Amino acid sequence: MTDAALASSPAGSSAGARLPLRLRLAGAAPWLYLAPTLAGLGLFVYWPLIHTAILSLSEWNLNPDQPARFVGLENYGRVAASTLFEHAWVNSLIYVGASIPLKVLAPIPLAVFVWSMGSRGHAYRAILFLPTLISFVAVAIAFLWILNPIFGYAKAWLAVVGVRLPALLTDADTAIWTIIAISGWKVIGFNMLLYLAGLASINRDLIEAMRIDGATDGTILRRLILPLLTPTIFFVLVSTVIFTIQQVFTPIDILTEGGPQNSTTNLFHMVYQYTFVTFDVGAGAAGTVMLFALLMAVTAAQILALDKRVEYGS
Amino acid sequence: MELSRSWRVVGHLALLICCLAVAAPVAVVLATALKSPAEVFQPSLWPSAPTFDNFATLFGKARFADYLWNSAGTTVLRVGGQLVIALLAAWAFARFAFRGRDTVFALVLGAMMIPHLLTMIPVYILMARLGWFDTWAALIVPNLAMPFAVFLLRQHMRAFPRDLLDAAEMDGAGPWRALWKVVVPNLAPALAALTIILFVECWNEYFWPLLVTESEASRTLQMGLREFLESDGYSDFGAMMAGVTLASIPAVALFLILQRRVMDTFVASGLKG
Amino acid sequence: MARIALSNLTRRFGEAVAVDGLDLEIADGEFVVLVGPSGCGKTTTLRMLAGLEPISAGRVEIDGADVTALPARERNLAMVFQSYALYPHMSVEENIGFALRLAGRSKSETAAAVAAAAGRLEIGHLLARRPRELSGGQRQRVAVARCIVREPHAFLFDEPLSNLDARLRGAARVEISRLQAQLGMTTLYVTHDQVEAMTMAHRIVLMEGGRIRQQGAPMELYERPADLFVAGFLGAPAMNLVPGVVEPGPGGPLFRAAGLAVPAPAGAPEGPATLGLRPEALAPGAPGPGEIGVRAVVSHVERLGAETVVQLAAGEAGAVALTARLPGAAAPAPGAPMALRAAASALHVFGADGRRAALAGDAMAVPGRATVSA
Repeated sequence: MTDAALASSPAGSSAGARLPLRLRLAGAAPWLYLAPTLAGLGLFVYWPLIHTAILSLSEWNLNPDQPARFVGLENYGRVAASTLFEHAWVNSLIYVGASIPLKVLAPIPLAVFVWSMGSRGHAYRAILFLPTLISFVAVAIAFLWILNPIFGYAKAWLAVVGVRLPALLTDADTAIWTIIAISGWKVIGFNMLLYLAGLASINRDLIEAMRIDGATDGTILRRLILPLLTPTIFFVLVSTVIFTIQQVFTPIDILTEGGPQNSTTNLFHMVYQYTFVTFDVGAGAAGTVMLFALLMAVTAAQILALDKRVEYGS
Repeated sequence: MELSRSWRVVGHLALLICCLAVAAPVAVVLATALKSPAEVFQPSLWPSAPTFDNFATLFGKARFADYLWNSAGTTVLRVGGQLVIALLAAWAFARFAFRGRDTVFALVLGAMMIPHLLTMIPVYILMARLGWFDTWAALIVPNLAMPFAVFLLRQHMRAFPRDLLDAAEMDGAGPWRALWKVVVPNLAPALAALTIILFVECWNEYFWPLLVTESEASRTLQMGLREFLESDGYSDFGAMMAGVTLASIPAVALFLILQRRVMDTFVASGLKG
Repeated sequence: MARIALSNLTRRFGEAVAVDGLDLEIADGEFVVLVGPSGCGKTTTLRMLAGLEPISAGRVEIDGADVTALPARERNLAMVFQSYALYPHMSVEENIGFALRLAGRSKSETAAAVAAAAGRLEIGHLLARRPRELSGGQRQRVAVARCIVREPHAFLFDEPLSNLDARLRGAARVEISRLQAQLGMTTLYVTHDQVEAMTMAHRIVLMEGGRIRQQGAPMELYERPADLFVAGFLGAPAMNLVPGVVEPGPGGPLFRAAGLAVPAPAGAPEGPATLGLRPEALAPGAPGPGEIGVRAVVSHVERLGAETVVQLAAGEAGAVALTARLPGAAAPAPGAPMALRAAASALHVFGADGRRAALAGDAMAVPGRATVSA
């Protein structure tokens, strides 16, 4: 680690006392460079984490004139007992669970195909990356129009092959899957690119060597590429799990607002509703803490289950 | 690696289907946006008489000019600020050896894994206390420190040839001038990629502006889309899709301009975490 | 230009000591070459002088002023890097003028200085190019120009020729020596290549294990190596080193090794010893007066054109391997027996401690700076 950095003080610390002031201050230089980042992260990331925990123990309605009241764990009990929480919690697991095959696993073969094509795969790569660039608002609104049960293109196109398009977003059984599919549409290309990054770091000599040893495509994939790709898979898995609940907020808010009958809400949307719709800050904060705990637990489980099996490339 | 013939066919088929799945909705949006009101409800992919009337509606009926200005202004300032701040922090980690460096770096990396949703309530309250609702500051300041950018730039700086840094030092450049005159000009590809990532993230942001913008004049484009959806959108899908198109063009355009560099940096720079 | 003094310079990495209490003075205008095998601490020493490497102990003085605490940018030293370290985003002109611009010189002043330096190195026509458009030799010249334009206290070279091919290297050696003499540059030059050390240095400082093994004029080190390490390091092919023992004999002390017996030079102490003989000191033929003789069998022949390097096996069962450097015409066949002779004065004797024994012939040794440090 240290070897990469230049000597910031050539004299070392022992000579510090006789250094001119200007040079003694040089020790503060890295902290000055770091100051904006540390201030930003402290003020807007780390302190809010703590503040959220404090708020979760109080009752407050966002009104600055009304002081917050300490209520202990009451908020947690209240949130946990609500039907909204029950739906949000189950749905969150569905969102996360469905993400794994759709957003984590499906892009792997796509990335391998694109990678195997070399520069001829660039067109595929660019097209599949397109949804990453478009905002979720735009995507959600576009699908609102495409899936419009009366005038939508999907209905007209399915009619050609004799299929009747159900009202996907207003049916409590299908709405959540529709949102999952749309969020998959948006994210697959990005995750594929992450896999391409992982694949690019694989030394092609290894593949040549295996091929000379008589290995087939399947063997090379199983024995070489997948093992070397496991750190990337692990990274994609962890980040997909952590960010899915946040990411589907936009389509939920625009397409269904959590409905019908809370069938599409998740913990994030629940927190939003508590905090910014009903101004029940304590409940919102309690929900946030529970969500945090859920994310930590799932991530820790993943690390425990997978870390031992992650193999690191050359 | 060359796959066998049958796998190649499977690969092309799978990728073609995926590309079609991506392209079809895009085509629908573009077609609808260019259709006249009379034609909007016919499911053809080619408008018989393409028109930009729908775009005119956006700027006439809705305040898309305001939205565009707010989005462009906050995005440029925020991304610029994020880049500068991240360059400074990355330089601190890459250039100096100091007590506590690894701990501080771990804290920065840790922040990368904390989604906004876990911090939004206190930050929202802070914005309220500062009286920043409906200001650009609320959209810019809380997001200026970008752990991911720090991480990516640090990786690139650590890979920077050490001799060049030594040469700059011998030539009389201190850390500050070495950063701006030697390191930054040679990090162009990484900075281009990072610019795209930060730009797209900011331009497309939905949740945070939803919380801190209230008046119509302060809304960003994404907020404007939602606003328009709720006022006119359900009846005027042509204009709605024109809005979707308009909101998507800048990020897509920037990407196309910097495409090669972005893809290469993405793929080559160890986003592997 | 300036004088440089390093005293008790030390660099530790945890437990390991890279440079161990090194003392070195460089006179104004002197060309000192720091040479040694990789890992000997020569580059670390150079970098400590430059200010690029933290100093664990000791001090660095330039013209009598203690600069130990100063960062590299305030020492006014210039350095040519092994990779040349040209800024890829700047033209040649900007590369050469960068330090002057940083120092606040005006554009016109800088341009004039750059033009002069470029003219001196005959790269005036390359000023508008980027480093990646230059050949290796051109890059090396730009790197040198970047140094001389600044008129620094001293020049530091860190293996500057190792990225050049053999032919360019020869030309570059001549050119750097010429430039150094013309400008009177105080120079510290680090290399692992003993040819560069021998051909360019006013004074060679040979390092090993973080310490100086021997320093002095190139021919002094070559002719009077202080110990086995120095003897083996300088010279290619390397000096023949034959371990054996010095014993009293009927006509004076004899050196014996594996069935070989040659008269030991006068002054050689008795006991275990290593005999040293340069390959070029061996010649074919029977020994004359004041010469020793060896019989051997040719095992391998390398013809280099101007000369021929012959590997020989001598002594009982051919246990003593010798290398002889013979003029181009001499070309014995492998397997052929060969009689060799060498002047007795060309023999070196190293004692059991590896140090060179003072011999009778050494009385004529050149005085001067030939100092041997522990």
